[in-house]
Amino acid sequence: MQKFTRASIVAALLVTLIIGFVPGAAVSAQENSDKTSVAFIPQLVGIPYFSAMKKGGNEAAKRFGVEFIYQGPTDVNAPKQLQIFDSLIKQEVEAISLSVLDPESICPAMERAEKQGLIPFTSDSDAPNCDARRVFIQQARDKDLAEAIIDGIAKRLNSDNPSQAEGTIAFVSGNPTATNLNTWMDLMEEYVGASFPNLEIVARRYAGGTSSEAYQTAQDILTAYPDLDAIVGVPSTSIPGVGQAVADSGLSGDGIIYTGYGSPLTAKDYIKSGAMDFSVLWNPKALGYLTVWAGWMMDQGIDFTKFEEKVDLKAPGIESLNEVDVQWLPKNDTILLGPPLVITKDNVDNYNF
Amino acid sequence: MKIFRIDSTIIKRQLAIVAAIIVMITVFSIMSPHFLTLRNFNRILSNLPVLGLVTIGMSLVMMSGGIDISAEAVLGVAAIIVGQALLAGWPGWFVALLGPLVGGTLGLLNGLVISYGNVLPIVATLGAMYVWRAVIFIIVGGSWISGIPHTFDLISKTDFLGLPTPFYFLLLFIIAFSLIFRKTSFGWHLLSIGNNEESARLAGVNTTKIKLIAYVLMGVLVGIAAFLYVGRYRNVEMTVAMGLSLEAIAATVIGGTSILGGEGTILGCLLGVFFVRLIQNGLVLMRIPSIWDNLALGALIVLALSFDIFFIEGGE
Repeated sequence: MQKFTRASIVAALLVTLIIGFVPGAAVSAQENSDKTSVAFIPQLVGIPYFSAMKKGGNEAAKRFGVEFIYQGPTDVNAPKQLQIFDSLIKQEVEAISLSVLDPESICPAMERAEKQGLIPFTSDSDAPNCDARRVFIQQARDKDLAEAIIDGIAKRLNSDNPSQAEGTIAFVSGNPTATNLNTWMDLMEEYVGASFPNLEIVARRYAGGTSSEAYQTAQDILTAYPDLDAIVGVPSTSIPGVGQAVADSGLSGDGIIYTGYGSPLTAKDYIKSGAMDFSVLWNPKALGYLTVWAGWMMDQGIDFTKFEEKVDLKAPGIESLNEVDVQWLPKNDTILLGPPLVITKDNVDNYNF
Repeated sequence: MKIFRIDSTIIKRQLAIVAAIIVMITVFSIMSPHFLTLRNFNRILSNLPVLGLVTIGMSLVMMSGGIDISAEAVLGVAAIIVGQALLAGWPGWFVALLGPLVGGTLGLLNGLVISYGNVLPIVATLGAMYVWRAVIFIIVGGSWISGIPHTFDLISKTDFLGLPTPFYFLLLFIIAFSLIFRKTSFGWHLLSIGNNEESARLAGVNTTKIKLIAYVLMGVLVGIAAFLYVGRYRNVEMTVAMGLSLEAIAATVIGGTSILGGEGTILGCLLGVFFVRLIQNGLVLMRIPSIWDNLALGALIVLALSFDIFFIEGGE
């Protein structure tokens, strides 16, 4: 546990730094209008996910005395994102972050920003091969997201000894071309293979992107595997369709374990009716908060990339949340928000995205 | 007796599809113990109506030599309005009328552009699809219409005499449109436009008006499908009904309607829709890896249709 102690020391140092900075920053920000500016460019404005990030960003901005600029395209459009990025460089915004749409085309712009002494970084979606990109603010690791689903199923199948849980699981995915969904399913399969000898993944079906296709597919799966123990709606587009099929087949409650990666608003109806047991995602509001905090920290001269080992970070203001456990991961220069957010009946009302 | 000849060709084609369906049912039954059960057939039938109604409309416009790529997006727009109205607590009967009203209006726009603007149907409706998809995106974005109340459960989720209630809807429309098609001049005129629009016009058919009516009817049917969609899935997502237009075109062609226009029957829609849904169901029940879904669907469509050509050639 040598690493741990060393990491703790660095973390303690960081905390001291932060505490030292907060009052000073807040005061100086009030005294002159020359506040630090941190910008975030979402993939798209006007959708609840990024609106939640904006909300978190605003909270952090208020707390740390930062000016937060939130500007993005009105449709998913990489060239427009690039335009906005360039206009922020012209305005000399100190730290510019974005949820990357096209990792190739944004890279030269990041280099321009870096040359001007600004701090380009990514959040939510990365451009890993771009040298100018300072850090990536990551919402959750794919591996953690995959394990959260399987752990939740195993726990519900065998609460005394989850590793000995017995049962069959089916996936209802979206389009076969969606790489993130395939990654999650591969990781879930790997995890089951490695740690759960009595769990079996019996089906992986691609249902396309609509409720009706997910509904029909889920219905057919429930017919083909009448003894199925758990069904996973992998993309958010599958959540309502599968939930409806589970409910219409009279399997709400104890009939079958239904879970997936659905936002609280999408999953709410099914979680409350008992058709869905739990949903796994992350908290975009906390992610927005962390993004602005990180931008502000870097502008204060804190260079995370100096840390060569895993470090626990403390972002004051969101530390009390269960799904927040901020860490510096030197591999790929990443600041990780924390473990996945598990949404159940008990907390589904707390989120608005 | 030209019409008689066409009719018998269609009947041969449809017999070929019926034969293909019987073969598939036999194979699926052998491969899966869960296939040939009342419960499974009830589920298959319950998944026919949305696609079925769109396919009836698609058949009408395709018989006239047209096509409607925008059907799925029109369904989406109507579904949004139906969904929002239900969330706002508007009375069910009024909301049920809203679907066909919105669909009919958008269908009218398509019809006006095509029949009065003389724009090729594939171009006009492709444009319309992009426009309405954009509208859906702007309205729904990432905030889907979720948690829609159970207002239409009685219509969309119950059984009546052992069959799913929405299936009766489909049957009703199949019968009604078959009658309209056979007993009024509308069907004749539609087919004659599909055969040769110019000679139909010279023969005194008001081609502009007939085509306009076809697209309005298409819109109305899509609007009713939207109402069933919302009632059943209680959710309108940004991708609502994506891919449905192509499915309906496939079902129309399988059902015997010529892609070039001029021939077809309404009853064939039921065959085509059943064929498509049967394959989709059978593939899951046979536990075939999902990656083969589209390949199998495509191959079976081509196979069934070449079967039909073989039949016709053999018959003449």
